[in-house]
Amino acid sequence: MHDMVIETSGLSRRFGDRLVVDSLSLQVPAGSVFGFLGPNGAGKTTTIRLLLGLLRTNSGTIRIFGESITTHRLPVLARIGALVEAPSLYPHLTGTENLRHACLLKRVDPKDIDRVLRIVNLSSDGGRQVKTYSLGMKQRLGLALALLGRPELIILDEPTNGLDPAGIQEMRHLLRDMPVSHGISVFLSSHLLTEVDQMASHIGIIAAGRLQFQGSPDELRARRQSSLRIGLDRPEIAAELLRQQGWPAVAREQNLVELPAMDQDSTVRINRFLVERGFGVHLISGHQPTLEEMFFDLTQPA
Amino acid sequence: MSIFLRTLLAELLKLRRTLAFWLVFLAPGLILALEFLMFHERVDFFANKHQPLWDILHRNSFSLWGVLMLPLYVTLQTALLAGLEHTEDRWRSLLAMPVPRWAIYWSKLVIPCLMVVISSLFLTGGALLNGVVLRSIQPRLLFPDPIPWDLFLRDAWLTIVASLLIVTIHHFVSLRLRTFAASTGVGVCATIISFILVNSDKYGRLWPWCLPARLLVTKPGITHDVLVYSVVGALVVSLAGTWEFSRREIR
Repeated sequence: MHDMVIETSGLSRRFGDRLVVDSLSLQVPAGSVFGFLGPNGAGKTTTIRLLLGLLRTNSGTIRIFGESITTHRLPVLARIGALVEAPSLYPHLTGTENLRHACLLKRVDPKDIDRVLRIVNLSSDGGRQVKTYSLGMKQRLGLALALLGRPELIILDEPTNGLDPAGIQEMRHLLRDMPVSHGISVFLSSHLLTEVDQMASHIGIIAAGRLQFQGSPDELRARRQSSLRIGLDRPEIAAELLRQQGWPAVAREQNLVELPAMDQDSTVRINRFLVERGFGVHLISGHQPTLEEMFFDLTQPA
Repeated sequence: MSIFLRTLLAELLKLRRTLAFWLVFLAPGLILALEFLMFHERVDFFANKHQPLWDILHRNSFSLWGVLMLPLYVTLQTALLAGLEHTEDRWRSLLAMPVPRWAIYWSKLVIPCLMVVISSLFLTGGALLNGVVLRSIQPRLLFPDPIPWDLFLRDAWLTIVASLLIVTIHHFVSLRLRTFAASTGVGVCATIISFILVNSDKYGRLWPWCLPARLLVTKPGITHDVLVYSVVGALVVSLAGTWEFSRREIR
């Protein structure tokens, strides 16, 4: 068994002049729940389509289970379950018929249908036409389709999109347990760090097509750097003046100026500098950024 | 079970509860109903012909079917079938399955071909039944024994083969064009043009949508030319379509 279920190296994809995925080198460990994070338009869905062979690469390589998706597309896809964006279901068919359709294409014994319906809690609704399903039920049926045939890896694109809080929680429980209870590695994309943080063992953060971070949530937390926040009027002017003095200040929303954490003397000197120039300083405090703020900083254009 | 057979069964499964399935019987059924009403309402006219009416029934059935209904039927069926995948972009899931692209393309092609076969045979059986029923309720109508089922059946098969080229063209077009209106628009325009060209030896023999209707032209060698052109053309279009579909990206 390979240590990495997905490995990409220098993966790039361009649509016209726009570089949507830029030299992406991903490493998804076997047995992990890998959260692939990024804001809308960051290149997550394009990456997933590249992984599934739905798009061709402009450069770089993709290896899944150690095999190239280009040269071993069918054997690799046979070991993967996928849910790309919204589940692609045939609404005129019942849930069971949708699964039977997938069984035929994936060479899976139809007996597996009952098992996957049980996993996603749809056993009693399998006989109903999908057009009568709620969005949450459709999403769960999409997951059941991905789980058919006991794949070694499932790739899910925004699996909680459109779900209500209860549905999100249910999906989260299902996915978090996959590696342990079913031996399935999970690769899922999302634009919500808080959501992924609760279920992922590994995280990759992409912005403007480039990978900004890859590692465990704890490694991301370890990169957090404390900062000094100063509350005052006219923060843009204050930040500019501080920068002219050699302090790397950044103006923030809510009348704040932020600087890297510093010792007591430096803090006193900065305060005196600002007060002498007529700024009304009303707050000076140390600040530990949240994961959300780190995600925001990593994914914002410089 | 081979992957192609599995893919074909999966395509057949998708036909459940669809308009496409019912059209198989509705399209020829409409012609049969019109034929029945025409004979039933104009008994005097047809009775005074003092000739076996099987020939008229045969010619009317196959000309209506070949010139008008079949091209429109193929257009509609292929657009409806492709629409199953175009809607909500279901291609992205279908093409992420461990199935070769050629198997998907050809299984999707076999379905409209099968539909044309079933509809044409339904038309044939229905037309013969029309004759039998009409003579029993209107004895003045001359539908004598023996029932010429061999003539009807032969032309049904010829029509099926002659339609292969337009089935493959519409299959390609409907998979390529994402909107229902665009792919049906192509078929409607092509069918209207065929009305103008059908009697032209120069252009009619080249216009694929004229081929089923040209079987009715009584000229030596024309049937052979129509069938060869349809089969060879269908093969070329299908191979080109398979190549294009295998390379297609799902964005």
